[in-house]
Amino acid sequence: MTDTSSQASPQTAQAVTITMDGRQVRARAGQTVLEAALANGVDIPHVCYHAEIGPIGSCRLCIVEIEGVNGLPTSCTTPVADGMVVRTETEQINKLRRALLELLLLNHPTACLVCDKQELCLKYRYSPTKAGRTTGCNFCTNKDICDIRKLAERLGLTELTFPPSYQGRPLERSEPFIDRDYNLCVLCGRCVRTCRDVHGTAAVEFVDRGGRTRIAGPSDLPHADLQCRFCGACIDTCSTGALSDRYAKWRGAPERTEQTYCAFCPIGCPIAVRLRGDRAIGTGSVPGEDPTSRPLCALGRFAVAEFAAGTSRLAHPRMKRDGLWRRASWDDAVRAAAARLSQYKGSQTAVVVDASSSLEAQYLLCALAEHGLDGARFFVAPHNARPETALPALAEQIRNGRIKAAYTATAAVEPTVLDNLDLLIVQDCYPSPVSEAADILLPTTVFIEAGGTFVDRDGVVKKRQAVAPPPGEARPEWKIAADLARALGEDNLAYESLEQVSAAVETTVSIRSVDEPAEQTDPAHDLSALPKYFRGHRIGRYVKGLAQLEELITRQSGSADVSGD
Amino acid sequence: MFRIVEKTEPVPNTHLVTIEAPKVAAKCQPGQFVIVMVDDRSERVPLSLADWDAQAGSLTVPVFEVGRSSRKIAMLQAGDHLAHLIGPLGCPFPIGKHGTVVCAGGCYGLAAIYPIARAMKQAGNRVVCVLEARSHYLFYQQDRLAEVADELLCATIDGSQDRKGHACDVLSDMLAEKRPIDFVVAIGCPFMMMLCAEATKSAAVPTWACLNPIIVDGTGMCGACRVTVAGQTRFACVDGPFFDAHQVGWDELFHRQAAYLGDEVQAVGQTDAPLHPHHHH
Repeated sequence: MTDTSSQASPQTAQAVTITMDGRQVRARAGQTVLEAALANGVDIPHVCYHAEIGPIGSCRLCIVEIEGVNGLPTSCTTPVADGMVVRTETEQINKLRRALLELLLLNHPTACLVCDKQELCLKYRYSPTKAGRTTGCNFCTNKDICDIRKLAERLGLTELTFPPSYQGRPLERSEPFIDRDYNLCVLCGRCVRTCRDVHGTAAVEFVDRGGRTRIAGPSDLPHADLQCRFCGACIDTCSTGALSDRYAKWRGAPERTEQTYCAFCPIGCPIAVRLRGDRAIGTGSVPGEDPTSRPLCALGRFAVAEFAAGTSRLAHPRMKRDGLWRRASWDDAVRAAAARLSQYKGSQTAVVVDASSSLEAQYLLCALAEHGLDGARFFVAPHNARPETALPALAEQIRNGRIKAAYTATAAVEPTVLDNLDLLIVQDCYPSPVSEAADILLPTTVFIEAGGTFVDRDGVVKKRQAVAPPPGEARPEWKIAADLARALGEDNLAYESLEQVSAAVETTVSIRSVDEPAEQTDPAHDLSALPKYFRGHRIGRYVKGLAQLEELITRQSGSADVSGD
Repeated sequence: MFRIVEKTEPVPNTHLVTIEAPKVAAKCQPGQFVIVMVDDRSERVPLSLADWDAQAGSLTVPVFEVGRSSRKIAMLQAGDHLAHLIGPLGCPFPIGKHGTVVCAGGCYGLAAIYPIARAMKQAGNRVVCVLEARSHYLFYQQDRLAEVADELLCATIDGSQDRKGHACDVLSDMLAEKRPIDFVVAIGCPFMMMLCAEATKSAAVPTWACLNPIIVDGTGMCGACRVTVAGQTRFACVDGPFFDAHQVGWDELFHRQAAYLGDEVQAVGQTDAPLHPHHHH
């Protein structure tokens, strides 16, 4: 009897007409009244229903009046029927909804919802409190996007009939990436159903019964011990501030999202970068047809913004003089790089790019090695490579003195051989043992800050967008390479825009995937497949949650497998 | 190192920490504060005194968790040690005989108002404690305050206990009812203290507020705690922390408190996870 559109096949989906609040609206047979309402711009209040996970009819807030139907059925579980006459808002319905909401909020810190000085408070206490325990909206990280808060405002909840209680549950903030404060939970169950029904895992479930019901992992085990893959879908669907992204929380609500592709591994999942001002504060999955779009792995969901925002990002070109770093202008740094590289042309020079670099950057540096540097040797460091083992052939040739000068766009280079080089120019986003050994250091972007083409694991050509500005003076890799080409006198490679390089790449090379070690497992499904390195940098060094997660995985595998590395 | 003798979380997010610091405890006076460093790299956190015991050689501070450093304190347990504690700092609050004195407290001020209420009572005043909390479950130390107060009036923002509203509403009620108020001292967040000041301004009741700007050294060197009072720049650490609430430049205080917000948000996410999974803080 609660059959909904999810079971209705497209062939049987006929149009029906119903009257909603006196207005004729069209709906598909098999749709629920709530779905039809939402599709027609009528926002019936609801908490437990979410478009991605369907109805369960537990919060009861979506009750409506339907002519000829006894009582007030929940619109999320009632299918439309031709000629149905529905009223979504009456005095009686709203009174009931207020009462239902109040019951839902019995164990939720509600004080700020009914405070008579809300306006003044928002005016003066505009900054986030970063409180440990949330005891009101003004202390809540979810304040700006809270479903419950919006509902309370909409339903005009200004007084509480019953004094609320505080549950006193422990805060859970020792696990990777996610802070959990179930004292805010209203048991809408969206996290449980998203985890189970959308992602096919069951990292959280309802535990206990009656008034003691709560959300927890089975047997209260830590999430990393369970099926949790840290996709973050539970946070995104949470109707309160109970679940929060530890990095993003307190940074405010995202103002907009921009789509690009992750570059932490060769899969290249689409990601929606959440921005506030021009700052990336988080990432989410992109709903759509792309089969790789969901769920995101822990890195795609939690690491992108934090990695890009690290406080030690390289932001200014620098040159070493008398063993000391000195800041330089881009012009000076590029000119010096060209002048010094010119002294080491041919096979005694190496140009190293990273597999995660855009094809434009790879193409330009490859062409530069061939033409501007008269056949310099060209290397591509693979994804997720440890610097020590990334490019053994390069390390060997530096060690035995055949390569005397190197230009590297990755830190995935064996650091111990670098002393043998006469010249090292490094283009990178973070400092590393490689950049420390450099003579000239050129700061560059990370993938959300630079556009460019790449070939994903399945061989599909995709384009990344620059969605956030780089720190300081950092420039995209293609731009640095083009300027270097100009300084080396290779004017045909001195492109002015990314589009020009992209066009050149399309006409001069047949795009194919660079050789990669075949990815055995998808990090979205297997935590042990999460990349540890990005362009030779240990990601966990800049992303605290990943370091925690790696430690947990090591501990777990250590107990099961004594030979584990 | 300063040993934590006792630590409780009487209400969500507010911790009471009793610390062994005999030389400091021997000299504390009402209205003063101490500065704590949790570890050798932590910020210096100014904390109001909730009480002290010169004989036992300990003092108690309320800690409201609102960022990295207070969180570090919140995650400690009895028996753990703090790296540094200096104090007592700030001017003792001038205790005099005024008649009826209202001691208003909110949040950490529920604890911090106690030494002043006690001293005011001992000085022969009639003491009315006006306490505010968001909800009934956020009151604490009411029993202690009741011991030194002639009257205890409470307000909850959600109306779950006593008057619905804020401490300032209780003050307004009292003034509207022509009940005598000769002097007001308020301790709480700037918002609460600002509203109290507004409530008593037209009746010209002397009102003092315990200002809580960012304080670094606490001895008048750095100037981080500068506030504007009656158009003059004052240092909260050495000239205060109590000032005439009717003369305080509140807007500036709010702004200056938020000066390092970006760094604070960055820092709080980097705080090390507690040692005990599913800890009870």
